[in-house]
Amino acid sequence: MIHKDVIIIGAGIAGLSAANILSQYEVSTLLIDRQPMVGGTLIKQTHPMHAWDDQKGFDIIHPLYESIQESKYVDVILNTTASAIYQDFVLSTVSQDVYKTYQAKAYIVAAGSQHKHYAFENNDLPGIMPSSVIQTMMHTYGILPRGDTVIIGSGNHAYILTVQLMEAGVSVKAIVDMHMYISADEIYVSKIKAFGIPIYVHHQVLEAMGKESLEAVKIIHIKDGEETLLEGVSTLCVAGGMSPATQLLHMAGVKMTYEAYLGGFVPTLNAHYQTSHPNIFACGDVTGIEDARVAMYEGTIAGLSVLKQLGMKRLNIDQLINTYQEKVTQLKDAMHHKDNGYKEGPYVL
Amino acid sequence: MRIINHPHMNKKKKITFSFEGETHIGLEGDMIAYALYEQGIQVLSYSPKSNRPRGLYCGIGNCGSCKMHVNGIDHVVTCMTELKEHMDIRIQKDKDTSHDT
Repeated sequence: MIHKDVIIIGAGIAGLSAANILSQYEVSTLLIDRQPMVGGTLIKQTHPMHAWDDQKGFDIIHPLYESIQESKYVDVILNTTASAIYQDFVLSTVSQDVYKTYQAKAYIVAAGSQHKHYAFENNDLPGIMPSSVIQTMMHTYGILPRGDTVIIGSGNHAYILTVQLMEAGVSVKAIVDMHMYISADEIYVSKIKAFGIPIYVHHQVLEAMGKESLEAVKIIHIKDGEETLLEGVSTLCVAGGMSPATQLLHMAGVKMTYEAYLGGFVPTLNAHYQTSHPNIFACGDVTGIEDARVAMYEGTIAGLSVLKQLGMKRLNIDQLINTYQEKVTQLKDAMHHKDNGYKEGPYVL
Repeated sequence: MRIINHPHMNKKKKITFSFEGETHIGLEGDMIAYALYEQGIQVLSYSPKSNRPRGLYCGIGNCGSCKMHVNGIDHVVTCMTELKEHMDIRIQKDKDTSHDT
């Protein structure tokens, strides 16, 4: 068994932010991610992001990762899945059929989120994929989705992805938006309208059709029940929102609560992002689906809290934690105000 | 189809592999399932009970839809396994075989 001071699970923006704080101290830290690269979801955002002063995802990740790599106290291992946290707080990892066990004084779970799927007939046909896979396909492997694509989902995410697909030269047949109104900001909607892509508002997918893979999609108006058949569709991109990837936290037995507006089960946390177990901290989307900036500040707070718990001396540590907590509160308030109605959704029949 | 001249990607080496006995080409650094998708192969496995086709779905090693036979080993999560030269990749149709003794 390998012993460490801190183990961070997930090298997305939250995990990297936590590692960045820890890297400035003599604390042996291990950062694990199952993907072949760091950066999680944020690194795949190749469009100038509004909320980050038009920076792109990798513009934020790269400098952060570089400063972590310079530290001799932080080890980063990629292509490695954290497969379990056991009751005695041993962590097991698996990489290409090789299992290892670790034990740390503190764990920071920054496992992020996973996609939700919609319930409709034949929703398991090959060709139906979550939006994150389409993004990975394009931005990591340079592969374009096959044939005509339909996007089902709502919110800015679905519309931004549509713009990315159009710009990459993919033929987008339609957007199916479950909301009664177009659920995205005007800047994205106007681009999509300029491309001439039809937006089916207040529609849901009724059925996917095809033998060995997707061939057609039947959609239905949620209120009127009017059906529309979209033929010659090879790819259905599901942008149906995310839910926290809480499997490890459930397994560790920390206290969880169900919060629909945060995407599902989330750990019960104190102001220091500590779970009901004093040695397990959580930050980022695993604590509820929020903005990437929230995840960054949460990671920073979790890092600072762990430093405090390990007895490291840092000037104004409490004050720093307070500052970041205020930033998180501000962002969350602004976001929940804006998202009001988006997340709960007017899905009434 | 590959994006040629992707602004954020460097040129990668070609990798030859076999799918169901046929030769295909992928790129260095590809995960198996993605390379297959690019080659037009969408069905990666069949569900053991109702024999339904399964393709690349979650792409992050959560769902198990992309489990295939690779170099004689079954249940290889191909969305998380890197493509290597001369790999022998086959559709997985049943629950299991190769690990049984």
